[in-house]
Amino acid sequence: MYTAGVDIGAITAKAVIFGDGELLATPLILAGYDRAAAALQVLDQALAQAGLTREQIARLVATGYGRVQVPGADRTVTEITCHARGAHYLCPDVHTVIDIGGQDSKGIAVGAGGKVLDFVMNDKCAAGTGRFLEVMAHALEVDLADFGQLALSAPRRANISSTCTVFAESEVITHLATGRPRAEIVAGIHEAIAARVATMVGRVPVREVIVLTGGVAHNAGVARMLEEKLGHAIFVPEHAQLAGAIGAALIARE
Amino acid sequence: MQSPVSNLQYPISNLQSPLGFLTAYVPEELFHAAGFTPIFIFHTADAHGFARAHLPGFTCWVAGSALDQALAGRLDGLAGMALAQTCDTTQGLTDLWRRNVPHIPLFHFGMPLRLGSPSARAYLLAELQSLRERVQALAGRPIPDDALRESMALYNRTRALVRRLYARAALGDIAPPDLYGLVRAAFQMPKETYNQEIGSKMQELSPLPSCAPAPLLLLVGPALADPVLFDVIAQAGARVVGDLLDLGERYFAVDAVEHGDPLAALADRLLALVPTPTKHHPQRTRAAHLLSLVQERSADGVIFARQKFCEPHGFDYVQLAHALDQAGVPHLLVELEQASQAGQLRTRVEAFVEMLA
Amino acid sequence: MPRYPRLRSLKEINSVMTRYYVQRKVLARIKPLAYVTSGAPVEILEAMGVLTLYPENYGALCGARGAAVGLCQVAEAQGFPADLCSYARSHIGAVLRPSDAPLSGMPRPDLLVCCNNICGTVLKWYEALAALYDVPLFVIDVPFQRTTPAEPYVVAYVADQLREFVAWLEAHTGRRLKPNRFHSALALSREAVALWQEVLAFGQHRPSPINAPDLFVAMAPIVALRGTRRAVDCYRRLKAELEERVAQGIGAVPGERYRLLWDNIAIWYRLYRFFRPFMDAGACFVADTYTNAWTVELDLDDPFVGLARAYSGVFINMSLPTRLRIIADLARRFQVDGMVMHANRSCKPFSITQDDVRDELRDELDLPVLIIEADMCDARLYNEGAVRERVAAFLETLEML
Repeated sequence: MYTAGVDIGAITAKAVIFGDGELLATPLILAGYDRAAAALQVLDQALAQAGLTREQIARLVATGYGRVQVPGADRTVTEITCHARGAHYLCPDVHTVIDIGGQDSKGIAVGAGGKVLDFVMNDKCAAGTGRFLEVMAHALEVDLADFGQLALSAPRRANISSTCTVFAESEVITHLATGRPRAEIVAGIHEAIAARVATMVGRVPVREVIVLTGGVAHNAGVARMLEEKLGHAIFVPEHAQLAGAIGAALIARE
Repeated sequence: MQSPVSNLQYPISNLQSPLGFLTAYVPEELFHAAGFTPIFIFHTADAHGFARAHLPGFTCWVAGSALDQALAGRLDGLAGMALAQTCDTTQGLTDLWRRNVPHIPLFHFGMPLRLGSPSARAYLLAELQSLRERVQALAGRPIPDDALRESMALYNRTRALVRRLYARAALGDIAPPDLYGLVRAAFQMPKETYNQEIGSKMQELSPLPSCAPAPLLLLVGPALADPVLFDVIAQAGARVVGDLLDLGERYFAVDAVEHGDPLAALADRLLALVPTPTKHHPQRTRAAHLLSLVQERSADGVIFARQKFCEPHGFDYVQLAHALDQAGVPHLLVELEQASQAGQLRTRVEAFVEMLA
Repeated sequence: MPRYPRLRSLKEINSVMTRYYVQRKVLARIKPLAYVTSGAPVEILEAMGVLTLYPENYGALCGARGAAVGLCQVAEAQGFPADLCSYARSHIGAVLRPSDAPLSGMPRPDLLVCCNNICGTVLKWYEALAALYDVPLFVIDVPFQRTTPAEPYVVAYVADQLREFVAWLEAHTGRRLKPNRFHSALALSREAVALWQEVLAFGQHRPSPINAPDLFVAMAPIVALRGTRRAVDCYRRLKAELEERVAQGIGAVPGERYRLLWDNIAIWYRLYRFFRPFMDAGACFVADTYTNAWTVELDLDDPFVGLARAYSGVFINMSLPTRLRIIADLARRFQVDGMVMHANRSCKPFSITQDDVRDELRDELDLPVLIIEADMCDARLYNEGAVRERVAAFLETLEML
């Protein structure tokens, strides 16, 4: 049986096809303004990667911010449930999932079989999400792709204390104006987002194994500083950004 | 889905001597006996931009909206406005209203903080007498004891009817938007009319299919939460079987004694209600009440619908959540504000319902 | 010679307060200890030999030492929303994680005493403490004073509760309230309050020998040591030093050009730093509404009624018209040129009517008013850049007047 999971986020659209006991396709594209079109496009790419036709897909589950706009979905499931399931597939010993996406972040306590035991979310405030890093990278004229490594290269970290992204941005500008090395400011930015996320996640008690998912997972700076704040090791799977779509595809099998 | 309760609107202009109120501790019957029609000033999602010139942004929208509506002239038909001593924001609103909305006279009612102590009861009786005198002054005539008893009897009938609504909800037999549409209506129209109409409204509601194993939820929060929340809960396939909302089930749970000293009856009713977070009863705690409600209604989970910047409910949430954790009852916190995002609410509530399934 | 002369007495007060915390830790092993709110009738506890500690004062300490943010995060991780009072979040954080807290936290209380004359938040904060420590809590309800003076039945209600309070204390500590010790504590409290009022009155001099940040440091004894001889001694010394300054024409801000009024609680993590740009421009804060909160006189003839009246009359328990009268009176007596108001996120009673106060001062008294949005303890809410801009603009306004 072949199933598909489509995760339409605020910024990216992901699709996963599961069959023959493994992941057969894992494309990712920008979601743009037309979520329905993005859903079809990313699903087409997945089918092409897997060498399957749409009719061969027994069931399609849609998740993410734009889940109700996915044409042909048999069921919609929230990204919380899907990330838990997907993280469990990627790491069967997972007990805590930390998902940091473009516009929100979540902490999920996971039980046997990838079941959600509890969760906490921040989707009101840019601080603690990918958006925070995006705004800062722009302010510092650094490529987002280099952001994490730059943070880890700094011997010291500038202090960025504001909870609000807008305030924090003005703190960054002040640091620049006083001649603070860019790497140290970037390190401070990463520490700030890690602290913010750690506080939020602390509300679903953190237990090992901790898995980091979502687009920001591949930022090594955030991952390492989160480990520091939580006092636990954090596992970043190769398919971290696809955890939601993977979970959706697996749920489609039930 | 058009519900028979969705068009229960009563513009202020249709009402006789409407008297607005906020908080869950205003003795409505006192105003009713003086010839006023007490109506609760619910917050609306739209802002007219006036409130924030007086109320700082770090206060809840339940208070902000009332001031906003008043300053925008939307409440000009009110004969007066009443609020009880509850939280710091309400206390501040007393001052701001008196200064900035002088054409709508404000009645501040000093509901005591400590429930269950003899000195508090004595003070409450004196404060009720003081309020009676002030209301008489506005009405231009005395409020006889008999009129008070009649008003209490009328309100008791309303309370009994709302209890029937909740009894139906306890069986999972009424959709959340319908339940709260009907409860809310009790605060927005003359009780006489409400008592007559609610029976037929309840009959118009079709019973819900009992096939789907819908999760049974309790709600906790200030005022009557937010209509958008009830729609989201219904769409996620869950039922509300009871609540600890300030203006919800607890508000209608206790009747006033219809004979004897009416002020004593009003006082004793207020003292007997399950406390809201701003009141303190050393023995009768909200946590104990919530846990027994969970048991009684076989609730699968609890949703805390907190207003952002509401400190009493914010602190109280931690105590209640802890009690639920110890009892192994799942719970979810959603924070509502001036324009609550339905999409964000939906994600949280759906995820919670998925978790309970 | 330092540019801004420092008061010797403040150093002494600081060491008195350090000793205060250390002594409490030791004495708490042998005497009953109560956590109390800043507006509680502490004279009763003092008279009964019950030790007192003030979580609010501790919260301010956490703010001043830069420990508040970390402790707030501890509380937030336990589910306390980030928009709650930062004194409460800091203190609760310290209770949950004393290893991260100044002085390794405060000793465990035996009792909790909460009086709502300063705000309603304390009720919830103390209920949370009662749950964390599993100790008895007494709540004193002081009704909001919507008319000043309060109606007789309101005063009677508070007085009755104070008698109940004594009975409760006697039952829980095994100690009795002896009339002579009570009278002594009341007299000492009255004396300290009178001395504190005199200290505050020094701001009327030109130049003022004292600046608001000095008062924020100096106020600790009137809050935490009210009813003791030590508080009286602290303020006798401070008063003497201020008299010296006046005699020598020494101002807290040399070359004083502008006299300002401060409203709301201090910004503890910027205690002096906030005021530097003002001081550098010759502006001295000669009066404030926060330290004025502990200036109500006690009537010793009928102690419970006297206490009831005094504690009902704290600044933030009174209605806006009364507060406006007090502020206008301060503005006139101290001859101020303008006002700076701290829109303190954590203190709704102080902050909620600020826009209207600003309007009134501007329209009726022709005074320029600056409102600074910040928080008393939570430094994450302080926007250095925005504050700098606003202060600079305000100083320019003063200059142009």
